[in-house]
Amino acid sequence: MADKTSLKPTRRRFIQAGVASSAALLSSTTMAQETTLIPGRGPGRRVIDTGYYGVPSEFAKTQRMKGNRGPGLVGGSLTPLHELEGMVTPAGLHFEVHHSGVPDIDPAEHKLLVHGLVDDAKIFTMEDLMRFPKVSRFHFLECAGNGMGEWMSPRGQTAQQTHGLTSCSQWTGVPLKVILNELGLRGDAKWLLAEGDDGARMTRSIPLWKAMDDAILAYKQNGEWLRAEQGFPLRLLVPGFEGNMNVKWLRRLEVGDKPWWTHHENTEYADPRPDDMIRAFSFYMECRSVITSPSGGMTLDGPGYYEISGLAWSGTGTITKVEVSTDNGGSWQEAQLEAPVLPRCHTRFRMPWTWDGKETIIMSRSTDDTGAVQPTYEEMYKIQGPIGMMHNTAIQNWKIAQTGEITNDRS
Amino acid sequence: MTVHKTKLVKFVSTCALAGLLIGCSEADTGAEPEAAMAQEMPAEAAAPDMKYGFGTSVGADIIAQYDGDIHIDGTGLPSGSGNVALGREIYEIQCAICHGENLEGVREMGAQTMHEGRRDIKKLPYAESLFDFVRRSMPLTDPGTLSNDETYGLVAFLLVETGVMEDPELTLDADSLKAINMPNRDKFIIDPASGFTAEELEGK
Repeated sequence: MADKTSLKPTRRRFIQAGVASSAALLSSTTMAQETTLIPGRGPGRRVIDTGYYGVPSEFAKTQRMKGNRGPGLVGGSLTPLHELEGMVTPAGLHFEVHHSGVPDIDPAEHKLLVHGLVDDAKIFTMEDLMRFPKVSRFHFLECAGNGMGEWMSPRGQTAQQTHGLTSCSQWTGVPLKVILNELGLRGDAKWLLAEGDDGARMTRSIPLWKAMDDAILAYKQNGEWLRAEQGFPLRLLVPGFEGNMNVKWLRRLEVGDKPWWTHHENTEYADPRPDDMIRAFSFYMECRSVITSPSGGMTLDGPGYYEISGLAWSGTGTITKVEVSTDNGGSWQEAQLEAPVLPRCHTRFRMPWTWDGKETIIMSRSTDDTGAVQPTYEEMYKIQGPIGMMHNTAIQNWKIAQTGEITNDRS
Repeated sequence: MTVHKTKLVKFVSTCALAGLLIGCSEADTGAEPEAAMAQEMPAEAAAPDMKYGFGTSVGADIIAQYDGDIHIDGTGLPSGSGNVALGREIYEIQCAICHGENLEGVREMGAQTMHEGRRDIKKLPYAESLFDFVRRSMPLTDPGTLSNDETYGLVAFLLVETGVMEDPELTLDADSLKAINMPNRDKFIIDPASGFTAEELEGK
């Protein structure tokens, strides 16, 4: 046993500690305490055991914001976009919304039934599904209600609060069309019903053309198993479509000839319009962007150089251009898009900027390869009417005061 | 997840075959390397019509254990019936704690009014969808426990309370529920980007 009072290890003690730690990996965790004999560099610096699954340093406080309604079964969390970089969201910070709690499912017990207008109805275990050809693709996922609180007036203080219901991951699974081909589709097949295994058995109707295009039955996220709140062990991924359609804890797919008009498509995620009209089947999350740095809640440290950076995404295609205005929309400059720039995926943009110390408003405007341009609030009201709630894609203003303080302000 | 050794060998040879096919198709078409950047689906390139034989074929008995949804043409509506009185009784015991004594919604419980706005019962396109959702998802803390009779009764109660149906002693079963035409049905706009028209989605 090494001398615990000595801060300066000898070569011999290092070897002893090394042996102890190797042994600890192989046998018991009690011996792992021996490794704490190796001091950090400099007086008082600790070394830590990072365990079998790495977690952020205790000094890194980046977290989701959580909210719940009622008895705690309806709720979700917002991604801290303003504290993240690049285009990928860490799985543990990916936003989530649940309507009937997050179930705890054993993948060994989980099965997927696919039936309806098919030649051969089949039930699949997870082991079955994972034997099919796989694809891994980067896609954003956004709740249709992302920014619904912002419709009438600015409310959220940070980009997390205004835009935190979008995240981006690399998803791995079997293309849905491989499974449907396996079963054989009947001629009248046009829609699918996707059903989750949460308490409410949440359902959404999915058009068959999407299922046969780029939909994935996903079981891995950023290389590892889906997180429980992302649908472990199996979720539907319909890239670019509103988050709610990407049904989690997927237990059943029924092929039909008409949509089911389920609760979540006729009420919860339908879009009220003027004159009591209701827009339904608005699948796409459209072209949108937000500056994440500098953004609401931050304070600039005096005039000088700052990098303006943010995210752009479009459910209808690939981002082709992001323009940034630093003078309240008076003039626009094209930002640099950072590779990779992928379809239906978060795209990071950057633009150098020198702040002169005067009060101003900064904003970004994205364009995708279908020609769709992100609207202003005024333009969006014209399209959707001011009573809308879902599918808020409007340009986000960040007001910078002379003090450097940044707020969410449209004036 | 364990994979039996012989299965693994078979799986590897499937992959090898797929790889061979991808190789061939690239050689034949002279595919540009950019294709890889566009997140193409290799499975499609490999064998669009390949049958892999994984999974277990199932018959009507197994499907019935999993399937409980109601189609808008009434397919799936169960036998049984329930009237407004039964519905009111169940509502007071199971629903009022969140939805309020008079369907007004209890804000602290996260429930909105069912008389107007986004949860307005009158605005629903199909009574079948209402039956499906109540039986599938309610009550929130104990979903899937309502009997078919109780669900018919609750739907009858909700439709009378919100003025969709007039008869205060309404009894619903599969046939009478199917016959209901919801008043807001033609106020739904179908987003053209969905690839469908309103006519195509007309249910009845």
